[in-house]
Amino acid sequence: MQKVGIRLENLHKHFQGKTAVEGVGLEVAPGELVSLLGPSGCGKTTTLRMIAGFEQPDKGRVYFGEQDVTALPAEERRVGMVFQSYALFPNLSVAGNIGFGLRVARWPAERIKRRVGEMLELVGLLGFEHRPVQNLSGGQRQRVALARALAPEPRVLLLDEPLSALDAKIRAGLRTELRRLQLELGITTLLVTHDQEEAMSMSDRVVVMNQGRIEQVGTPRELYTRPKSPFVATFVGSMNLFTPEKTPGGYRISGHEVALPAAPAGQVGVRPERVELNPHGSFSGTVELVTYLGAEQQVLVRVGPDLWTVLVPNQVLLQRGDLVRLHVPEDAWILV
Amino acid sequence: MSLGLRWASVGIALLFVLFLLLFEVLPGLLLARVFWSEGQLSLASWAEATRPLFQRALRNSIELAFYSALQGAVLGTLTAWALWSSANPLVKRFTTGLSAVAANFAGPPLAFAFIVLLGGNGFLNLILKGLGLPTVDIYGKEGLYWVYLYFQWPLMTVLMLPAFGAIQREWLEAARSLGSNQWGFWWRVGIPVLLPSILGSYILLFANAFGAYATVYALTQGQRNLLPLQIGFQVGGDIGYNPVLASTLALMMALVLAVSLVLYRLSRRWAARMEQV
Amino acid sequence: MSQLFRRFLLVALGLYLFLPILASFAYSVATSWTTLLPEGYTLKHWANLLENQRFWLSLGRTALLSFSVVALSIFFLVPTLFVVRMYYPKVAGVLEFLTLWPFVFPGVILAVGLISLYSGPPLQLAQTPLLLIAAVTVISLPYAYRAVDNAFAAADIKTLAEAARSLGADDAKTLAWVILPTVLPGVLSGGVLAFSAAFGEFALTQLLIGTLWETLPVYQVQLARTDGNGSAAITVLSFLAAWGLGFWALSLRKDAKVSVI
Ligand SMILES: Nc1ncnc2c1ncn2[C@@H]1O[C@H](COP(=O)(O)OP(=O)(O)O)[C@@H](O)[C@H]1O
Ligand SMILES: [Mg+2]
Repeated sequence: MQKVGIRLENLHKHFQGKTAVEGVGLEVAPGELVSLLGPSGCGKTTTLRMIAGFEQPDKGRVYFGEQDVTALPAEERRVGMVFQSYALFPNLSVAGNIGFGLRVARWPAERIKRRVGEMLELVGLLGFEHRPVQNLSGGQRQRVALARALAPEPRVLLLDEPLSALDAKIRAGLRTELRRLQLELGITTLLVTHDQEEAMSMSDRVVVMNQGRIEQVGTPRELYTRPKSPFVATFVGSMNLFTPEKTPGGYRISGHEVALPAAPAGQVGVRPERVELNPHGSFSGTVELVTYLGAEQQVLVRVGPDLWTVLVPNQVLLQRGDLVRLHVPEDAWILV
Repeated sequence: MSLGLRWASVGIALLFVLFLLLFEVLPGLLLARVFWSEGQLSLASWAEATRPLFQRALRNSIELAFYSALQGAVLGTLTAWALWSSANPLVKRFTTGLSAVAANFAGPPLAFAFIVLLGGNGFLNLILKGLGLPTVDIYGKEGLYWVYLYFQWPLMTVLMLPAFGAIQREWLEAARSLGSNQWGFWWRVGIPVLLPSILGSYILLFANAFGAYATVYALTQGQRNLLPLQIGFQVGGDIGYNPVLASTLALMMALVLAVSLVLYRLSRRWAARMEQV
Repeated sequence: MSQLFRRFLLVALGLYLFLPILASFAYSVATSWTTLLPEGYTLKHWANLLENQRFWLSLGRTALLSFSVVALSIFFLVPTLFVVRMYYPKVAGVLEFLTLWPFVFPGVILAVGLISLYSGPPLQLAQTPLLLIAAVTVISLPYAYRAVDNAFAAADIKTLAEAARSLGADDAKTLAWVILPTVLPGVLSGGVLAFSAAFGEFALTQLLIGTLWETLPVYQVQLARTDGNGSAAITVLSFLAAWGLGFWALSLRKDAKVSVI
């Protein structure tokens, strides 16, 4: 399989005067898995559809490797596409679906049969070839859809919320399987999702989108530890966010003086797991709500005017009304 | 629910069943009486009803229904496709509503409207004549097709819209990403998925034309050898009153319609399975 | 290309559906029409029609027939579907079957059966308007049944009734405040459809009672023999009635879905 990367240059798309995608530029290396992450309606699908050729960008270009495919019709782009709704052809069996692209490309029957067999094995559905697709579970359907997309050896794989229609358990299993397959085949992949956990756990890099624009691109670790905007900070993981007040000696947060590692330009945040319960902590507050999560507990603490979210080991016994002191190590502050 | 309300409703429901038995089921079932004469099974009336005249009536009716349904099916399917792929929701709603209403319009007003349009001095015929083109004989064989198309075309359109609605746009996109063009998609997926609905709707159109009485009666004053008209003659015509013959012909007609109904139900089941994904 | 073809199809359908009415209207106000356009225009034919007592009588009978059919349909269907949906859902299949019956026994056939059944004692109903009303109710039942049944199905009256009761409403209140208002648009739409079907009914009328009790379509067939222009005026009226009722029935449904059988 030839490996090509994807390059997007300044893509724009409007629908009836409404902007869906605005100035999206991105480079995906060959063999890389990149996620487009963002809230519903932020333009992820539209971006993906411009790459697949179902939508023509108003402005900007799409490259597969060195080839400019912007004007190429979808049927000539050789992309594999997987949809949230599976989009299996109901009149065809499992084998008929998987072999669809091969028949279109006029492969000889013998080779189609062999290839379909390989794909079934790849997605763990050997023995299912003659089943009608109506008889499959959601997870099995999505495997067939994946096999169908991969069978004609596409240059890139595009997945639009492929796991969103599935139950939580099946979703988790398929998530690892999908990633394993992708690494094994080394196929360049773009994954659209609104689920940050999915994006973080599966991707080499994540692209966070908001209102048609790219907010930040980075590895999952980068996004988590160094979000560049309040939007990214709260969309990826959870974050206590504050607007610090300048005081003569430093800064004030939640009514308490703090030392910050650098001068903040905008807001300042701290992840719930970096806040420590500490009798010598500089923030004093009152417990408002304790939520038991199993391995740990999530505690809401009223500190001055703010409500902090803190993750606390579950050995610590806390209840509503307890007075606590919180400590934030200086390097835990994130400036956004 | 208070018991009173419930039992009053049950009472009305039973009354309803009685009503249906008296005015719907019994009249239909009693047609079969013609096979009994003097307490014995007798096929005498059947022999009478299969005389060449009535054989021809049956054949004419089937032919009329067959082709009329075919015309409606082709045009209606294409129109439903046009509505399905139309981006304009207003056009869609208006045409759908119009079709739903027109599909149920038949009878004398329709026949006379077409006579005004395509009769001897009909407006369209005058235009055709002016252009030196052949005119339409509304009272002739092809005339009925023109009139029936008035309800068959919109009926097919309305019937096919839900079937097209079941075709997901993602299917087309999936097919294109797999290298197929639009035609390839319709050939390999679209038409096979629609096929059960097309067949089922065709059968409805067939039955619709086959059982139609009012329109053709008004158009030709009954001067056509079609099964419904022959039946009408036997009960209320000038030729005379022959209830046994009328019942036998009616049974013959009901038989064709019953087969249509069974085929229709089968095609619906097939379609439901197809569209269930 | 395909865009052009789509437009062409829709325009062709529109022309096909509108031209006959427009031509009939033009004919009903034309003095004489033997060339491309009518030679002159007049309201004479309309005036003649509206002064004709036979027209008004037939219209009155048609209205009586249609209203009776609607009343009978609603009287039967609403309580029946209510108990079936609420208490005896297993019976629904039988009802469905009974509404399919007219498919196999359309007007002409039903007329034959009714005549032979009711020509003599014990129920000598042949050639009475009563039999006609019953027969037209049977024939138009599928339309009304679909609409009312859809309304009950969409309302999920069982859950509604339980919710109302859990909030303390007694049974009469549940029915009056919750169930009836919810299904009302569907019932109304079913009634309008039945009205429209009865209004245009010809086969049963002609065979069961004919000119003894002349309804509008039967009168039109008679009139057309002598007065084509007057008949064209009736055509226009019938079209207007059918289209008006049809669009009214459609507008009563929240979903734009249309079902035929
Ligand atoms: N075909 C379309 N016509 C009109 N508006 C559209 C169309 N497709 C998408 N949009 C709009 O563009 C925006 C982005 O949509 P989309 O790319 O589907 O978002 P996402 O996949 O991130 O949820 C949304 O506001 C959506 O309503
Ligand atoms: Mg989306």
